[in-house]
Amino acid sequence: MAQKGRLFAPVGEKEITRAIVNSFAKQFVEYVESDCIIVGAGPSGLMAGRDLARQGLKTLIVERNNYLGGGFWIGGYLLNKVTFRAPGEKVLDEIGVPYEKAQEGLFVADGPHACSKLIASACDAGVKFANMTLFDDVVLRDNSVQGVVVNWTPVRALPREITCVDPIALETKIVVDATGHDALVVKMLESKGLLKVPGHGSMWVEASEDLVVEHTGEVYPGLFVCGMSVTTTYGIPRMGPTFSGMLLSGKRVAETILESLRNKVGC
Amino acid sequence: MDWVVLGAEELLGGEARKLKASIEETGFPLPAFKPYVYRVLLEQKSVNKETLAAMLAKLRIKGLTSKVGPNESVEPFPAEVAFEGRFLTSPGKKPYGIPYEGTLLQASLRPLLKKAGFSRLPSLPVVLLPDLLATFEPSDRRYHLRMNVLGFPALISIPGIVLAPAKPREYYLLKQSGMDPAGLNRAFKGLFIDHGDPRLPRVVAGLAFQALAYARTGNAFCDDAGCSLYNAHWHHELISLYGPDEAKNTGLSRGIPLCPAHSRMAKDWKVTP
Ligand SMILES: [Zn+2]
Repeated sequence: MAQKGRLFAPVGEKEITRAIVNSFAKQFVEYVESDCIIVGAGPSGLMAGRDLARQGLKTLIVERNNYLGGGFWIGGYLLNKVTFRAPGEKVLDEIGVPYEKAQEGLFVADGPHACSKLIASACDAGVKFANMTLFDDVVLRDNSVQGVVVNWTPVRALPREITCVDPIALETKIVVDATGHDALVVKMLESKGLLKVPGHGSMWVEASEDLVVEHTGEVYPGLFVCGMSVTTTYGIPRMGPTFSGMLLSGKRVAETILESLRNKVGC
Repeated sequence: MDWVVLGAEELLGGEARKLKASIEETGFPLPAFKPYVYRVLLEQKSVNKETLAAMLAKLRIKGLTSKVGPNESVEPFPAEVAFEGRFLTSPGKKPYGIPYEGTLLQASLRPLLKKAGFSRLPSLPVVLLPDLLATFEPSDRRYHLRMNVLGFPALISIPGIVLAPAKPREYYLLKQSGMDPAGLNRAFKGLFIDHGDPRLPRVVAGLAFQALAYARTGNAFCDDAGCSLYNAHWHHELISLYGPDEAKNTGLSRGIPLCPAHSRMAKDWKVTP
């Protein structure tokens, strides 16, 4: 409670530190084990996280940057308008983003508005985030992906002699690679010889963005792909800013995961 | 020699009648029209659904320069096989963008079509496909998209008509500068044959005729740029062949454009079936 003549409550530095650490530690301990870990907080990862958390799944999104949203803040040519081909506008309705119709089947929204609403919508659904966190490795058990190994992003920027900061492991039922064209999780499995990913030679042809949605799903036991990492995984031609495809791919991966978990418990 | 066109209804929809009209106006005997090739193969029990889906998934080209060899054991992902399986009988809904090895696809379809009752000769199947086709070019060691692959069966890629021939150079410069594909296609409207273009069925008719000419004579191409047997590499060449647009074209014949020599040849075929 504010004292007379003061605007803010008289809380000391040590109390602030305790509040930060306690709150962080409580959540961290809780999310050492979760239902689903999504690597990458771009539009497809956020959308997937939102839909999974809304169905009651304990969902953690790991993001290497401080900021969330990936490339969803801006559209083509660094302009902060993002476009959606129908039926992407239905997702905008769902998360409360205003948009205008540019022409039949094409809608345009403000990047900052769309991106912040999507982040807020994921948070409201109950998604938790580990930002400034690098994906380092996968946890493999019984020929299936059952977790990720992570580290702080700044560790990578430290001089070699002091990067002896060991990563830690988080366990989960499902991992989603939503790392965009990098497809970091898929590439990690490839480096272990568990699957084969095509090269980047197929950037030469125009493709329907439906392809991303149609190939969204499980790629290895316990590992699902959504968003642009789908194009890298399957060698589908790369495409420009296709936010409808990203949002629908996020929705599709959530549906597929829910279905696979239902099958696992047999109900 | 008789000929059969497979998949016109599924891939051209209502425009399939324009394909028929085009061939008819040329005065050449109409081919028989049959459903989409994979539907026919499944109905005739030439192959089962799982085998067919796996076969197609294996023929995907994943790298511009990484040659898909006939003996290469690329194990497709389950999602790729499932994707093929979902669209085997609904080609109109299949999203385009994945190129398939044209020569290997043709070789894989050959025995299946024979098993389904298509003899090598005298009947030529012309297969319309919703997929992109590419063939490896040894001279520059990379794959190139194709509108069609000649031989038995003849393959015609519907999205290949839009994507294989080169568009104006400025199109690619603007594309490189990051202009979005939809805006780009609006800006260059009319300068290339786009998806759903009214000229598309006539281009298909021309390519079907080319396949037939190759099957009968062994020569596919004609040097005359006003002949549908001309090997067009640019959209502007297709447009000068098939007309700037449908409206301006109504006074002209809507048949397949042919040079005098090939026009005579087609008439000879007509009288000696
Ligand atoms: Zn000619």
